[in-house]
Amino acid sequence: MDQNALIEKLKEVIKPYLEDETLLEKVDGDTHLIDDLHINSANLVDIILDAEDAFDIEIDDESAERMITVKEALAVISEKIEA
Amino acid sequence: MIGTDLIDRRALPVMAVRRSQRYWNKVLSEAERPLARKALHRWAMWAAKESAYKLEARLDAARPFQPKRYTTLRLEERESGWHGLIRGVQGTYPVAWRLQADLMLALCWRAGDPAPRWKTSPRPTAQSPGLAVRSLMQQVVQDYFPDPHSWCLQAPRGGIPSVVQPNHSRSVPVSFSHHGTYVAVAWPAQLCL
Repeated sequence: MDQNALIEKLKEVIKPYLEDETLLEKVDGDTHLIDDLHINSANLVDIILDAEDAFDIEIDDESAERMITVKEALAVISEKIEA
Repeated sequence: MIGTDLIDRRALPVMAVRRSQRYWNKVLSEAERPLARKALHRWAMWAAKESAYKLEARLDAARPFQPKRYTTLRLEERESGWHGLIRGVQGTYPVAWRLQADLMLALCWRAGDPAPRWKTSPRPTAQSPGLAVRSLMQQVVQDYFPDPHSWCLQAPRGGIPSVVQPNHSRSVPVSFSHHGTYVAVAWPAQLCL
C-alpha cells in the first residue's frame, strides 16, 4: 500500500473521533493527534484498536506510544504491515 | 505536584458500548485487572492513570500518555470516598476518587504532601471546556487572593496551568480536567502560603 493510500485509510480511522471533521483537510505528516486534532487519550486507544482492524495488524504498547503524529503513526503501521 | 482527571458518569453507558475487553486489555495491565471488581472501577483506574500522567507531565511534558505505564496498586472503597495508590514512571503516588451523582474525579499527588483541594462545575454548553476550567479556577483563586492584580492564571496550550504571583516570583501548578458537560480544577492545599 503506498503512502497516500495509507494516509487516506488512517484518516478514515481517525474521522469518527473528531469533533470537527474539517480538521482532516489540513492533515499532513506533522499533524499531532492530540494537540492538532484534539483527540482525547481515551479515543487514542480506540484509534489504535480501529487501526489494528483496518490494517489487519497488531500494535503493541511500545509502538502505540510512538504514534504521536500522523507521520509516526504511519511509520508504525507500515512497520507492522511489513512484519 | 498534583494531577486530576474528571469523568462525566452520564457518558459511561455510551462509552461502555464501544469499550470491549480488548480495549481494557490495552489500558490495564494483567496485575491491575483483578482490582476492577465492578465496571466503575475500570474507569476509576483510567482516571487515576490520567491524573498520575498529568502530575508527571510537569516533570517531562514531552512524554505522551501511555496508560500501561501507570499501574494502580490499590483501590479501596471507604465511607469518605475511594482511596488508592498508583505507580507511575517516576514514582508512586496516593490517589483519591471523589464520587458525585454524575461525576467521578480522580486526584493524585506526591506522597507526603497534603491531598489537593478541588472543585467541579457544570459547563454551559456554549462555553468551551478551556474557557470553563479557566473561569472556575479564577473563582477559586479569588477566594485566596481577593486583589485581582496580585495574581494571574497562566494556562498555555499543551502546557502546565499555574497560578502566578508576579510580586512574589511565585508560581503554583494547578490541574484542570473536563469531560462531558462538567469541568474540574484541583489545586495544592498550600496555594495560599
